[in-house]
Amino acid sequence: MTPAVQLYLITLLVYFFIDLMMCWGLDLQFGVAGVLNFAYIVFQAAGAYTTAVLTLGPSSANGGFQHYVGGARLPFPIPLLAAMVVGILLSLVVGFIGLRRLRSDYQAMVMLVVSVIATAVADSQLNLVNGPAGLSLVPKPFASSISVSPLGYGWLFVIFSAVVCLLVGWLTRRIVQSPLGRTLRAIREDERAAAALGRDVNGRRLLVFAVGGAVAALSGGILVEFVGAWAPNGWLYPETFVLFTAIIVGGRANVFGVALGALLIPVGLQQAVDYIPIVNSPTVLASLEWIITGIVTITFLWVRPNGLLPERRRTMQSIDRSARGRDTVTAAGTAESLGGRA
Amino acid sequence: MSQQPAVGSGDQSAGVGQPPAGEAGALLEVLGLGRDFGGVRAVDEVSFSVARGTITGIIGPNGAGKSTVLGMVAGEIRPSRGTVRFEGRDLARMPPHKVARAGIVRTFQLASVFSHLTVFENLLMGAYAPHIESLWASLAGRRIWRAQERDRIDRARQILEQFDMAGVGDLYAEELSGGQKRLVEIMRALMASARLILLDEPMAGVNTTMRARIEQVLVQLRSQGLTVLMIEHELEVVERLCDPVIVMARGRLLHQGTMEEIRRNRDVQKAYLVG
Repeated sequence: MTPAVQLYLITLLVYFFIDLMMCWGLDLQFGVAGVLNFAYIVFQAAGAYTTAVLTLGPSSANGGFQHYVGGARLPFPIPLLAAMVVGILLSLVVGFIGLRRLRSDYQAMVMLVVSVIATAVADSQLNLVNGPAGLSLVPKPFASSISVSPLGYGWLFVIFSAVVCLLVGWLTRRIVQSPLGRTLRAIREDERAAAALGRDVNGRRLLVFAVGGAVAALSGGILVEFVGAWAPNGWLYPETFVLFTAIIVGGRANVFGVALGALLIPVGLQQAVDYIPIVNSPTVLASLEWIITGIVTITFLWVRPNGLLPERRRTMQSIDRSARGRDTVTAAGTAESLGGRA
Repeated sequence: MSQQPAVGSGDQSAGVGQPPAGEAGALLEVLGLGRDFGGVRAVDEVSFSVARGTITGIIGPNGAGKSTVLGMVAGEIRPSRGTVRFEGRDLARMPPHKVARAGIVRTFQLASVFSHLTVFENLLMGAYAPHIESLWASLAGRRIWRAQERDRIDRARQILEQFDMAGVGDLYAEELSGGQKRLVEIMRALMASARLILLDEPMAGVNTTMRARIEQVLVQLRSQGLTVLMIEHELEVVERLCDPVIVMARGRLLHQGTMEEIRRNRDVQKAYLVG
């Protein structure tokens, strides 16, 4: 494999794992709990900026060509953990304003506005996170202390992002399959009925908003450590819609469906568009990506709204098995069938 | 129902319209309840009480304020004035989830099942267990929550069987008929171990066979000591099930008594004829 192909694969895989993390985090909010968070990309940006600022050192470092607040040079993984904390805090603030007392359609509008405002603030405030130029020269973790080739380091980064991604997936699945997951799905279906059965709808939504926000911030932190730069034009509000498309195509509230969607849309579709031979202009290609993504979303919502791998039906047997363990259920089932025959 | 629901051991043979079993005394007391929407006084100075083990009906023409009263008792609508006392505790201005945790569970005018959850999951949602529904319990895994979950599963199975609904346990709630959805709402309330169930037009959109079944269920639950406060437009159903009956019109309580007394009341006649 040539170095160019290896570099291509490394980039593709890291982006896939990061997109997958984002999709799982957003699916917890949208697919499972029914919260339309059109500002999801903002939480990734918050994590990316936090990690960058806490890795770059003071603003005067690197010749002082970048201006930002709160610069520090903290060792790995503290910047990533700090990014998650910022993601949670930001979620609580945005969630407190946007999720309480509003119907879901208005919540979606608030989130869209938050996304637009956040980009505008980062873009216009030159001393906050260096304005439209963004932050660059973000050091990669252990890059100077590990003696491997750049490609070798790239593969190590693939393994790192894969491990973090799988950990996120495993935790997400635990939440979805637990009684909390059932409560979140019930809130998605009918929040009035859920409240009438004792569930604190706002509290549960805020919780899932914070968990999703932490996952998005973590993914942003890892991404900025990989690419070394972050600027406002990389996290415009339409980016969130790509993630929504991935979830709708794959199948919401299904961890494996979402993984399939993340493979097909942010990675597969975008790569496929790049290989369309008739278009030479990069701007036309970018527009074409959005157009195709939009068409795919609408098509799936019409033709297959539950996605390629729809949400699994939780039968009485599967719920029983989940609570009792396979052996107990099998034994009970055998005893029952024997009793029936007798 | 094939067997008795597990909410006590009342007299199965209690006939429709007969005096309630259960403890004496008011379970719910509503005092001077009022609600304004802008300049409109939707509910004004409504006071009544609901005795334990009774099915109390609320009737009245459209716009009488019946659903607003039910919404205020359930914590969905914040009262402008007055108190709602349940088992001696003031619940007015409490959010709906806290009212539910206090022991009052409501149903809605349009059956509110969790459509894309199975019937069995709908029942499991009836029982609120804060410890096993926390984030930490979810992340820590099954060993933390499965014991309590097992109890909920056993109870849900038992209730499904009692209502002859075990065969539809794996169906999504959206796949049920209107009447079956009403039964799911009632079963959920039983899962919640509610002491007071608020029903908002439980017979609306339900076929005759299923109506009879819901009536039978309600009578049986009353005979076992459960208390029900229900809004109903079908006066025949109210006559068969409810004692006492509250009549409302234009946001005010006109009368509380038996159907016989209500029929003789001139204010009630006027309200129904004039609207």
